[in-house]
Amino acid sequence: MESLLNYITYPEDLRKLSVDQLSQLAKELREFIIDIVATKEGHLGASLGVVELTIALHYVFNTPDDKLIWDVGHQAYGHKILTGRKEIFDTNRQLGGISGFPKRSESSYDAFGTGHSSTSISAILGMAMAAQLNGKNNRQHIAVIGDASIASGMAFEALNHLGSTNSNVLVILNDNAIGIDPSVGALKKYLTNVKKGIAKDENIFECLNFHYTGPIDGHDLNALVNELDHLKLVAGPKLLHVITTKGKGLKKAEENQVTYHAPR
Amino acid sequence: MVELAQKNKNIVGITPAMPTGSSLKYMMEQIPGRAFDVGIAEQHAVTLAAGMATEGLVPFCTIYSTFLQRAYDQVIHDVAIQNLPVIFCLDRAGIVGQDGATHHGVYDIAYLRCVPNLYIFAPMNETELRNMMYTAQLGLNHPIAIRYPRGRGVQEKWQTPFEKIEIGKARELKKGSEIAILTIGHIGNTISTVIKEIAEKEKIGHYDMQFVKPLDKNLLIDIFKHYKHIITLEDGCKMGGFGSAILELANELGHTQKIHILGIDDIFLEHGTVEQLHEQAKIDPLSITKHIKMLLNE
Repeated sequence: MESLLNYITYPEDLRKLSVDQLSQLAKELREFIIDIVATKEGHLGASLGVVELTIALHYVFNTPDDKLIWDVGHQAYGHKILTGRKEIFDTNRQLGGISGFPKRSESSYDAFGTGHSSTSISAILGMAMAAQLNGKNNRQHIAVIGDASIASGMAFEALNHLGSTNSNVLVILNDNAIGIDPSVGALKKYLTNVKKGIAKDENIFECLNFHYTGPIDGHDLNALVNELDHLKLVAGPKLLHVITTKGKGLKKAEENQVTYHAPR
Repeated sequence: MVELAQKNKNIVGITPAMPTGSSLKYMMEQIPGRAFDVGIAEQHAVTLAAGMATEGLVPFCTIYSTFLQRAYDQVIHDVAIQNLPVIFCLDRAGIVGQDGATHHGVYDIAYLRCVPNLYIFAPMNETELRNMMYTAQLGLNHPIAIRYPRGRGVQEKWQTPFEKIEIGKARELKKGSEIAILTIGHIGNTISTVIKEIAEKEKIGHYDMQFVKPLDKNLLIDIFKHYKHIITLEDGCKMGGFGSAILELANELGHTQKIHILGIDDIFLEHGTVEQLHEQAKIDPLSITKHIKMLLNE
């Protein structure tokens, strides 16, 4: 079969594909990441886990006009490859090459520089509030944050503020039950119960005034595209709970997620 | 700030739960759509401001000096690395008095000075504060921290017309022949009073440095050449602070006269009145006068 990835430099190329073609693209993008990281090192597991999510986000949303922030940022390899940096991706993390994290000075698709965890909701809210003040009422604002990162104090500070506004923000909770090591704590336990369907009736995010949807399978491109399309039409703070597997598609990385966080 | 915000529609104000303490309440009352209390959430306040700055807004992030300590990573990681022009207004900078060791804002100069891209300014009076806020909202292309102490101002007529301040420029308040006193911020007013009481006042020069970063290097080169003694004075910790910056520059330039750094020693000051604590730290008028006289008699 002919390669789709070869024809994609920017998300506008991606948006020309049909939804049916996206799973083939996901396969190619995953292989591309594995090939490069196999020779150059870097953060592997996190990026493999969000291949489908990355494709769906750039497919549905009008980046870079719509703002997309990757919390921590080491899961953004697929994002970089699809946003004009495929040809130079082999310079990832090397002196003079592209950064291993999103970087504003590197690309207009990197809406906010990250590296440390839990900053994305604050930053995206700042952008969404600015959009309201500047009359950009149709712009979309998305933060992708993992279940380990959303458990930090700073992320709660931002959820607490965001839930009290009518700002147009979509928080995507990328729940893979692991940070670098397995996630811990009561929130993790709660999210596990949500997934099993045995959580208490009230949803923690709905209580904070978010429109909550999920959990959905983060590797099902049809489900992701449908849900994101739908959420575009929902105003105010939203949270989409997505279940992913860190290291998805590379058996060794799925089975040994800690080692394959950043294999050497 | 309300005055500026009425003219510049891009100005927004952010406070982490201190609308009254930091006086943002005036803006919240008059321009509620652009002044935000985000709750006790310093880290969020700083990164929210960074997000707003990426969109061309002019965020004034008003935080007590002691509470910015809680958001240090956000200052470095979200603001400074990306060189976003957030304006930090650090209220309660310096010794705060009876709230004591947990609340003194004495570390900000030291902990901010080492961060690239960031300007640090401290006004001696209301006019300097107003002019710096005015200058900052015109657009600096860099983040800036403006630090000022708790309490009332020193000018009877404080509503002076806005003037632009040149970045990194100090003010020569008085020329002298032997001792140069370099001050940063409000505590410089103490020196103006002290000098009046000293007989050989013609020997003493006084410089209001305004900026800890960038330093007025050209003026400092002249000062190092011209004066026998240099005294620095700050309402902040000695280690890594303003005096330390002067000392580093003198060393870099090869000037070898002793630099007398007055500030807070490597200890936690407890509670008391500001005056009492200044005495403990030997940055009160009497201690400073003694220090100057000792140098004059050398």
